[in-house]
Amino acid sequence: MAYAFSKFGAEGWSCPKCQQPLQPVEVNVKYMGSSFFVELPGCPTCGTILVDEELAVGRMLEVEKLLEDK
Amino acid sequence: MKPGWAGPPPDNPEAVSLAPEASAAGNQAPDAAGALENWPVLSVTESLCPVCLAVLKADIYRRGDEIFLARTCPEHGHFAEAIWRGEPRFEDWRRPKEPAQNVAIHRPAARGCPYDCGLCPEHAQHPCTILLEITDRCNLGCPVCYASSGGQGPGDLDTDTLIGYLKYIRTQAGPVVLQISGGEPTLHPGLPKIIKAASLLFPAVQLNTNGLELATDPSLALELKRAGLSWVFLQFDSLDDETLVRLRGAKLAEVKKAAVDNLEKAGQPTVLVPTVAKGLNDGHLGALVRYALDKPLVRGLHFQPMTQSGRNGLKGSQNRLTLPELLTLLGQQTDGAVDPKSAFPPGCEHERCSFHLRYRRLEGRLIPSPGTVRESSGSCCGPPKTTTTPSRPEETAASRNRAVDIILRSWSPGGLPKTEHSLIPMAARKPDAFDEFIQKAARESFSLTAMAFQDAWTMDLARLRGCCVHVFLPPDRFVPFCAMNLTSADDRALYRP
Repeated sequence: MAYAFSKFGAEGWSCPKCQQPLQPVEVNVKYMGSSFFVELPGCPTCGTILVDEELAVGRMLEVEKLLEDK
Repeated sequence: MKPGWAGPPPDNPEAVSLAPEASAAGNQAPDAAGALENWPVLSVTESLCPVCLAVLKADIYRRGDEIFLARTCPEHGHFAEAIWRGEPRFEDWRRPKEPAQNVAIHRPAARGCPYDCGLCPEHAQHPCTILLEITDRCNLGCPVCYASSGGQGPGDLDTDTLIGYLKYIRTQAGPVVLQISGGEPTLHPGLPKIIKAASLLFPAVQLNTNGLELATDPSLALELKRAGLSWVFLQFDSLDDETLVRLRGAKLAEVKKAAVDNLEKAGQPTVLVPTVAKGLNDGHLGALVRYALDKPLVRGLHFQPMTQSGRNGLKGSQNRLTLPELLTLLGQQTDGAVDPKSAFPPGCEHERCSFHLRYRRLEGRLIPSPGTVRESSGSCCGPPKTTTTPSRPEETAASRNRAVDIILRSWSPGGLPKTEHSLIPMAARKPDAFDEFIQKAARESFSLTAMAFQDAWTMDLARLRGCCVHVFLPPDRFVPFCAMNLTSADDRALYRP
């Protein structure tokens, strides 16, 4: 079953499964043979992480482009 | 005596490319093509007679470890030139793409390729890079110069006229990478003003220079950086003076190093550009890579195997180095740090015109970038199409923009010039580990690239029509780089005065 994050009032996003407001959590991101920790919104109950549009088509895309070739 | 370009006599195929003293027209026979039927023809294309530059049907065939481009001129006989030797195999070096034309810059053609460049409607690829030659003066007079600079040309072009050309190029070709070239462009007194104007019109401005002025005037690098220069292509063939005397006519090793140091002090990204001649400096590649790795703002090396176009005091097929040979030498001279199998064919220019290798530079070592395997053969020009319909203008623009973007990431400061990699401006949020990772990866990126320019002996018109690096020919023409510099066996130029 697919879930969709939804806005939780004026404060931010909520988890589609647990209905909990997302909180900043430290996430270990692995890419290009490197890993680093970054703070992202996540569900305190089930641990689901939200990658929002700004991140997906912004900086994550930029990381991919660093590997592209002409 | 003409140099040894001619192909094998029909009864002596071993003579191919190994006859440096043979006459250009001295060992052909009218029926020579028949002798080639014993070799498997891989493909057919069009080439030129190196003597009269007539267009000829040509065969590409394999003989042992070598690939030859062979054709027969009714008047001047048979010519076969080695265009590929060794691994990666010619047959495996593929990068399918559907070329994207920029019809806005096409002009009517009367005689056809390669005589009507402007571009002509036969040209299959849009430009991603345009060269503007601002002077034909030079302070070096190299024995080897494909542009034959330093002769009796018009000298410096007027600065305001050049700025007018820049606007015309931007209108016609779009937001391409603009190369300021020559002659030696640092001799032009209006250079900072020209760079400033170009930087306002184009996403990146490159300077092609021999570095002599940059070495002797420490303030020049900073002045050009402040004017908006994106990066410098610095002629850098060797660290050995005797070799430089052969190629450049002077002992320049310390001068070249001083130019690099001044560029580093100015914070100016630089790409070292060695012209590579077999038997002369092809044993210096490893030393050049090691030198570059110690210079944080040297973003990579761009090797250019020597061509026979223009002024060339070293003429002869024996000096020709093919792309796979160059890759093999890079592997041997870097103790295997460079793996020829990880080299990519290009996706913008013709697949046989260049290669590139991407790395991270870590404490003076080369770390291959993950994902840089040849199987991932995506292209800046999109996936190959099954139809031959002309590309739409928006497809052409997207193709060009993607190629330009990738060039910028390879050679520009931090890899991210004039673009913001987040939808939210950096100033409006706190930088996080993603930003740090991107900046670090961009700083550490290092590229080894090569461009195999064509001359009258290697000219394959299919490759020429796929070219995306064009020289602006005032007042209003765009000429593919290898056509612009093309000269015949007796040094007649097709386009240059």
